[in-house]
Amino acid sequence: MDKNPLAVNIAGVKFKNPLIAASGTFGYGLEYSEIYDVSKIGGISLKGLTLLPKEGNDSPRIAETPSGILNSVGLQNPGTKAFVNDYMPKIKKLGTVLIANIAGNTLEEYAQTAKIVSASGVDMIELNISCPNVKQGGMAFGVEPDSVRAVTEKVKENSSLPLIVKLTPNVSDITKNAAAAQKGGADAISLINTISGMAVDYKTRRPVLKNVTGGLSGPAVKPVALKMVWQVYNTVDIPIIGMGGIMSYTDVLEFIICGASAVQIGTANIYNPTAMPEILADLERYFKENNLTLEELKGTLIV
Amino acid sequence: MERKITVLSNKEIAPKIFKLTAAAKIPDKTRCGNFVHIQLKEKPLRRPFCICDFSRELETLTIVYEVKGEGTKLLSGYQKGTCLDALFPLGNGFDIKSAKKIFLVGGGLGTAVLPAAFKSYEGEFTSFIGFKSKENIILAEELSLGGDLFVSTEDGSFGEKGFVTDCVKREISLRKPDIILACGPEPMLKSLQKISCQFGTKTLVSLEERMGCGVGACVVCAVKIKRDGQEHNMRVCKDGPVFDINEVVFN
Ligand SMILES: Cc1cc2nc3c(=O)[nH]c(=O)nc-3n(C[C@H](O)[C@H](O)[C@H](O)COP(=O)(O)OP(=O)(O)OC[C@H]3O[C@@H](n4cnc5c(N)ncnc54)[C@H](O)[C@@H]3O)c2cc1C
Ligand SMILES: Cc1cc2nc3c(=O)[nH]c(=O)nc-3n(C[C@H](O)[C@H](O)[C@H](O)COP(=O)(O)O)c2cc1C
Ligand code: FES
Repeated sequence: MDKNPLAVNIAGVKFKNPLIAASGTFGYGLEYSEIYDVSKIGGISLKGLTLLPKEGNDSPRIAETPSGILNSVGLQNPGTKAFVNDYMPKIKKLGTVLIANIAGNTLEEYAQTAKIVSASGVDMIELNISCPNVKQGGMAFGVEPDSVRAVTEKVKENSSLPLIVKLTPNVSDITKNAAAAQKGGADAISLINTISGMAVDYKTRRPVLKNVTGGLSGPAVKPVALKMVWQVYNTVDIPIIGMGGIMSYTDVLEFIICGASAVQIGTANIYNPTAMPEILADLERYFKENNLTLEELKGTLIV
Repeated sequence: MERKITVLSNKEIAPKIFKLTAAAKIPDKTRCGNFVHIQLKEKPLRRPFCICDFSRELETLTIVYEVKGEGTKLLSGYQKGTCLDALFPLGNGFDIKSAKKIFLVGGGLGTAVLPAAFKSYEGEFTSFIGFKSKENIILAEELSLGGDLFVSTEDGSFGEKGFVTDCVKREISLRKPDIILACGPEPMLKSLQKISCQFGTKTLVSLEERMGCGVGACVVCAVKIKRDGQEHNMRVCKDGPVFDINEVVFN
């Protein structure tokens, strides 16, 4: 028996503990590694990558809202070439599970990006399907179950790494999209990405974000995320990585109880750079005191 | 990185402008142009403020801030003894290399970035600060201790009438500085960009943008910087807040 009560295996990849940094809030791990030993955390979902470099949207790209933030970064990233050549040599030394979060505007872009990152030394791929599909009128890939399945299949054909499909909550029935991802060959599902929203300054009558709309994250989204994790847990057989507003170890426990095998932590890092090691210490204490394992707690919601 | 500061004093020094001095251990690398990211107990996001002044011996850190919205309003109510979670020093700070003759230029609240220069560099300083009117003047005494000081007001109620950059332009040919360090509103910086170009004087400016993490990881704090003929979005919190004025792309 594994002695570490927090160890978890997802699609054959071993995590020391279920705390994974959420994509876009942890860069490529390098900034936080100047602050603490990031090898302590379970893994990092790296900043969303596109085939070619992307400058993202204009500032302001962040708005503070009650209990959360809206962001409109617009996937600014250095592109796959710089990722492989300049970043990966440093990221590889971080000593934790590395997940490449990939995005694109066409199926072909997803395929090529998947192929390149698969040979870069990362452990897994997470598919960000919240991006507009330019060939199909700009609706996000993640909205229609058919296109979720198509993009999942396409990436599977182009990569042998375990694949996590990250679902967007901006859909009518998330269970259909989760089922479509599983049919397309996903090895795991992560959810939720940000909820689309906006902030307005009544004095200037302008939106706070230059991009007008953005994605909401933080404590405000946790109830929505918990519900969706629970719904998806009751729909698919593959492991689930839950996220949305996790700020403390009790939030982590709630996600696990709703069926998540592991969790991602995003906005909490932005509020507090040492949020993850702090939550981990509390979680370790809880499992020790209660003589529990993650596996025993998973999906134990009593309804 | 240090994280804890304790308020020693927090006083209004001009209408809506406060000076907060706190007990804090000052890390060796702290220098002018660094900022501190303060967690206000009731607000999700930290608020960035430039490190206005510091003392390694007395273990103090000073910021000067304007009450703008809810966060700074809360901050202005913190009394002596309040402990705050504050990350510092963050950002690159002014890298003056071997410059010796230094111009410090501040417009309005931008003046708050300047006093720390005396603790950070050896050199001959001349300061230029500009405000709307006499009542808005801040930090004149502190800056006069480090070298010559020119004060201007737009309405002429104190010092020279006009913009701070008029004064800089006149003195630059007389004093021939090696470098200009500046912070202020965009019109001032645009005018300084022209002056810097005209006289070929290296000019570094401290910029502002809305932030998330403050440590370089979330890329929300983008400013447009022109390098190698191309515009890039760079991070104010990590690549900046200090940039070469000739690289800054103004709106
Ligand atoms: C590197 C840097 C140094 C700064 N130094 C100083 C200083 O020395 N003195 C000073 O008075 N101000 C300084 N500012 C601006 C200061 O951070 C804002 O005035 C402050 O965050 C406003 O907070 P609020 O809650 O009162 O306003 P609100 O408008 O209620 O704030 C809402 C959100 O917008 C952000 N925000 C609003 N205005 C700004 C701004 N101008 N820049 C960045 N974020 C903003 C806030 O941080 C908050 O997240 C600096 C900004 C930066 C980026
Ligand atoms: C600033 C910022 C940038 C983000 N960038 C990405 C991204 O590149 N790819 C992605 O899949 N999700 C991205 N997200 C979404 C997060 O990974 C996460 O799904 C969401 O924020 C909910 O979790 P949280 O409430 O813990 O932050 C981003 C979120 C934030 C706040
Ligand atoms: S505020 Fe997060 S990168 Fe600058």
